Amino acid sequence: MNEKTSSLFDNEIQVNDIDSLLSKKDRGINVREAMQSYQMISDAIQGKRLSKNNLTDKIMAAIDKEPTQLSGFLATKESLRQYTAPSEYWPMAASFAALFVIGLTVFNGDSIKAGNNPILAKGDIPEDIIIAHHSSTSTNMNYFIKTKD
Amino acid sequence: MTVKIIISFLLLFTLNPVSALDNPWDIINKAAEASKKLSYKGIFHSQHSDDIKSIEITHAFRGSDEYGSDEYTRINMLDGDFGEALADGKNVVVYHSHKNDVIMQKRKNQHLFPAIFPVNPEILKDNYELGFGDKERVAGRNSQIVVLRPLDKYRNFYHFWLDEETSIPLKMIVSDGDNNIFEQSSFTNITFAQSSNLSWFKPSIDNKKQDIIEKKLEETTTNNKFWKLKNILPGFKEVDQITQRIPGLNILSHQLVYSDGLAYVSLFIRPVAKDKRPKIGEVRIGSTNISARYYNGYQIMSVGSVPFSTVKHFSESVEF
Repeated sequence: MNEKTSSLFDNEIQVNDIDSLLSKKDRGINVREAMQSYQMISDAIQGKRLSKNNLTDKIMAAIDKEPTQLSGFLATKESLRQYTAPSEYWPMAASFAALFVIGLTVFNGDSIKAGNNPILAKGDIPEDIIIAHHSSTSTNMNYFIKTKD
Repeated sequence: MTVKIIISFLLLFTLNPVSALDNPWDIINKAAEASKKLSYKGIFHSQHSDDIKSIEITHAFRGSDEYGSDEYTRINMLDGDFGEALADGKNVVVYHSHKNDVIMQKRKNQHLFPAIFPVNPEILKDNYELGFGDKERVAGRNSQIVVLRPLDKYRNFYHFWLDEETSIPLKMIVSDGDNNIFEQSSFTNITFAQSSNLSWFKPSIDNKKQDIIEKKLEETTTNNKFWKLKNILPGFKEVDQITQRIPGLNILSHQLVYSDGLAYVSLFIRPVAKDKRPKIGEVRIGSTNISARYYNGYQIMSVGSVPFSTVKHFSESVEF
């Protein structure tokens, strides 16, 4: 049956078999699901499958709009509460999440204590900002005289 | 017994000239005045994070009037790349080497050691507690240790070794409450001399061998202060505002400088370019802490050699 369904979407089916196949399509869920799958595969192979909503583009655009958070740690206390909140439907998952959070806290305690904010990398801070700060406030000559090239 | 205690107290106050001061804070006033109104020359070592440099300072004072002080300072880096600063009380010009050239730039202010105290040291009283330590020799001179302890968690500790004779700071250490040192400067020698000769007050670069490139700050003025700060930390006041147009982009970057007299925090407010991602979080670079926040299309960054809680407070205080 599956071979015939596949042949239908590949335009390889015999004319005599088409009626037979189409008459069977409403008989069961399995047949309908198989036809949907083959339709999708056929469209993809032939380059016809285009997302009407450009979903990938939209997701990438949304990611681009998000602020950079390089730490990989929990961003805020609110996020932490969100992960540790008890779940009515997923008690096991909630337990694992809580253990995971505790593990993170134990192994990265110093980093999280620093201010409960994500830890940025030095390279995330524009050099001109550091130079501008020191050139107007530093009590140290070496930092005071530096200018941006 | 009571008489013994009274005598002990009397002896204590008589023998310790610091304790005998009517106002203990006078020692800070004297230190601030000495660093500006004495003429001196010396070499000190300065450490900031892991970076240690030797620096020579020459300072002359020739009086003051209602227009300001007639004060001249030249500071030279003795280690590493060439660097020099000349200040005449109103203007500051810095020179530093870049490849084969020397870059020259004018600055507004300087708070360089040993003249790090504010014009009015009285403002420190509200946020620091004054303590006296032992006496120690620094640069061959007797000094009194004085500590300014912060009254809250938003500032660092400032330790000074003040010259017993002149009160000028001979040594300074900035640390946190756990005695982690962020910055220190200490004279190895210093001499005091009153001279009207200012022939030394000129840049020491050789015009024939090196090109001098003047790098002007692209400063602009803005009347559109669209931001405001809620809950500024006690004692901190805005002491400067610098607005610059970012080269290549038609956007303005605002730098607000806040100080409590000793600690400085820069608050940067600049729009986020379309192709840039804003930063959120915290980072420490050397002894400088930075707190970054994204707010209504703007990147807010506060920067300072102050505790994390301070820079975080400033970055979160901005609203518009």
